[in-house]
Amino acid sequence: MNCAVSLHNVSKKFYIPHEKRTTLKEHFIHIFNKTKYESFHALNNISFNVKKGEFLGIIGANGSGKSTLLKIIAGIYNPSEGKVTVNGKISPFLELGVGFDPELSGTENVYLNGAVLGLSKKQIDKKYQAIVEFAEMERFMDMKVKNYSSGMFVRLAFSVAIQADADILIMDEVFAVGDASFQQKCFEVLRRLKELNKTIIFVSHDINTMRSFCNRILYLKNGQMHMIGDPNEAIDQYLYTDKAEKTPIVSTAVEKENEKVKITEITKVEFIDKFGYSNHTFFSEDPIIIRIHYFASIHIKNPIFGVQLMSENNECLFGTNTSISRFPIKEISGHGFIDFKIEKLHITFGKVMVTIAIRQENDDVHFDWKDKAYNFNVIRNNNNIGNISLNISFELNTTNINNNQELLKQKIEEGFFLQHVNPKYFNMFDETWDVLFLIDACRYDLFAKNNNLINGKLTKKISIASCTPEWAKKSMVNHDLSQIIYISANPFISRAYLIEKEKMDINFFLLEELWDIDWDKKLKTVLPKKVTTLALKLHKKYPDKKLFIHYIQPHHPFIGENGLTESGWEDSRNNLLGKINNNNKELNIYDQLKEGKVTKEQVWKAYQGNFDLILKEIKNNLIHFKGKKIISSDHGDCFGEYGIYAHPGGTYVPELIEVPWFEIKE
Amino acid sequence: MNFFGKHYELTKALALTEFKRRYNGSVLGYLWSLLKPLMLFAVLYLVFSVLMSSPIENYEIYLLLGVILWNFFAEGTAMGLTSVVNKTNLISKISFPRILIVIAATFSTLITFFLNFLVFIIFLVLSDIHFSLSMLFFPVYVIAEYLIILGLALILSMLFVKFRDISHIWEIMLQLGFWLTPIFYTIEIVPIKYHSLFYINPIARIIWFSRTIFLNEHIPNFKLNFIIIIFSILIFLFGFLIFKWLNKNIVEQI
Repeated sequence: MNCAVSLHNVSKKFYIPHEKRTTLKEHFIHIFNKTKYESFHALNNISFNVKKGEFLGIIGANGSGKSTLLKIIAGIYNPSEGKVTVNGKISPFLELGVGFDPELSGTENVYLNGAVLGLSKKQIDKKYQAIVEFAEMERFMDMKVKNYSSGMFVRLAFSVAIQADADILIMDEVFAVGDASFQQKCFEVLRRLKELNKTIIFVSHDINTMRSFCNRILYLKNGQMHMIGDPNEAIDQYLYTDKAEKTPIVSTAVEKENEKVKITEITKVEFIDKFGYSNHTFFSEDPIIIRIHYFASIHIKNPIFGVQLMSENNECLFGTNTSISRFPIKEISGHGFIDFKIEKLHITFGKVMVTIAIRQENDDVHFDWKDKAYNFNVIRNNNNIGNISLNISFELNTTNINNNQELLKQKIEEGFFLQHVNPKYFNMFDETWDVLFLIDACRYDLFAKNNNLINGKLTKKISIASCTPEWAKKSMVNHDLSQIIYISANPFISRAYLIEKEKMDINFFLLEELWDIDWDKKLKTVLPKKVTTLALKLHKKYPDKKLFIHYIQPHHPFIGENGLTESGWEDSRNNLLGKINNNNKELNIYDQLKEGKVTKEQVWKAYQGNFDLILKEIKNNLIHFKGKKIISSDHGDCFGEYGIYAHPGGTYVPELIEVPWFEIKE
Repeated sequence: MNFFGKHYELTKALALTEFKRRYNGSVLGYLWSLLKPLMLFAVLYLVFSVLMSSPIENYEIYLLLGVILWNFFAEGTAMGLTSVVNKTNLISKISFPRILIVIAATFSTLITFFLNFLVFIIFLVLSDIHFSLSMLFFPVYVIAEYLIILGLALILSMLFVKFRDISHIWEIMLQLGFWLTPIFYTIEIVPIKYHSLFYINPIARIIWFSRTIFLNEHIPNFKLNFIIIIFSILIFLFGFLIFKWLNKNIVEQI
């Protein structure tokens, strides 16, 4: 029972009448002469088994019996001799779109074709949406199929066909479907079918698809099994031996006009494949020998043979001669040949034109010159693109962290950087201040460069972390915060708080999460004004408490005059509020930068705008706050300067954790 | 029964497609399936009732019943005849019981027949004929006629693959049948010695019996019913066997 399909000595004979009689008159007239039939052996003694879950490919030239074989397996033809055994439900489609009626709409055809494939209406109802989506035909389902483009037709047909609930699928050239991206989807389907342990028998002229999917390939030749087995071997046999016998062995040169008697001439040129046959078609990266036959009527001393390979567009691909390649020939006479051996044909595909020449050393006159007189074809052996094939390999190097975000992320997850956090970090809750203005994501160097609005003393501090949640966790835990009022516009504080609720024992006198209450829907941020207003209100109410005011700026979204829009925080906010509504298609500023949608200059300018805005806001309100006032930041920010965009937690980049500590003088 | 259960969906889909297709693209669409027999009815009615004043009582009911039953037969066999050849593409690519194609084709004419029958009922209600229980016997004749149609269609569809003349021959046969069946006339105008010849034709019998239950309000005797039922089953079986025999290598011959 391990066999899905088993054929035993299957033969198929067709009788082809010499004159086909289809009308009664013809039958009457010829009633006494028996119709002469010619029997035609489409298939001869085919025996093979296909295991469950196996992918069997069938290749062969046109007329070799591939389709007949498929039809016999599918039960459309009865074999003339032999036995076919099929275990399991066989999907009866051989070709896409069979049963499609051009006069009906796409929807009607889906149901019709589904019925043809053995699906009930209910089953199709269920799968309908998936079918239409897969085919990318949402808009065309009411259109009559006769008005479809051929691409649309096969796409829809393929989508229905793969819904057939069968164990064994038989496909005849069904992959030449749609554009490249749709083809990728089809391959995805094939892979899935393979995973589902479906048995697939298919015929395709796409050699590379066959090579990558088939477990075995059956090579049919004139109705006989030439071989069955390893795909590469079968394909080689098909391509080299089969084609070689069919194409003329020698390519004859186009003789030039006013032919002179040549002392030495190139009589013929052969291209020898890896099996030693003369051939015209070669796979990329296979060996090839260019065999140059010559005839020298006299003794020629020190001849030089030259070979040049040109593309169809007349680009020189390669050229050499026996002199350049240091293969001195002393003398030739009479008939002979010289082999130009190419170990690996580093041309991906296309027609290659070959020029052959013979001349004598130290003499510019050629004995013979066959200009682009010969050619051979190169077929792809993989799906790489480009004209030349290089020996390549990839290597993943995990020791170099420069410019490698993925790697960085991995390291962060591993906790690598946490161990490297500078032990000299400072905690702002250990310092003395009465009002702390915390501006978000501001580096020491940026602050030093940009601040000229407020008087004060600037020093550099090493932050405890490189992102807000990390900073919140590390700086707030185990500290007495009971005398502090915390006004936060940054949702990430809450996020950190929520995540680590059990572990965190944050004991602020008052915690105001402004991002929740005063969110600006249009700008998708919290405006500085709102933060200050609340801070002043609370300051008045609790004059003896310390104030910790956490603005969002200069972190984006940028609301300065050169505002760039983005909505990364909207998603974070929604997440925290339990609204899972991430249909936001807008890229955050870092991704916009990475993709080149905005320039670094634009971002810096916008950042500067936010920076000025927040400093002005602080400056204008300074007189309302009493006590020692500090401006600082939780961590720094960067825009890709260190190969890092944004400020992922645990990132150890010295610049990222250097924050300003600015004591305001009035 | 299992066979039909398994292939019910496909048969239904094929039959509906066939039906939809036939009137696809025409302005009046499905209405044509009603208009065609009604036109024939109108012409015959005009000629025989108005111009020649037929003496038959309830002539419009008499005529309409004959017309729709004949139409069912003519269309069913004609559709069945070409069904296999028309679906060459399908049967040469997909393995499924080919008999379904013929069933689907004839079934689509059954749909047309039902639509026609609805019109007939309207005429019946408008006439002064009263409802009688005998009318409930009508489905038996419809089924009998369908079996005859299917049996013939099975044979014709196979023959058509081999001899394309069959379609023309059958067309003539149907013409002949139309005149040799008492559709617009009564059997009484035919000399009595030919009556038995006329009633060899099973469709003539079905029309006759149907008229009996609708117009004369009684069911023909058991013997007559038995004969027609057995006869229709035999035709179906005969057609089925012929089909089974010939259809084996049909794909290669089309």
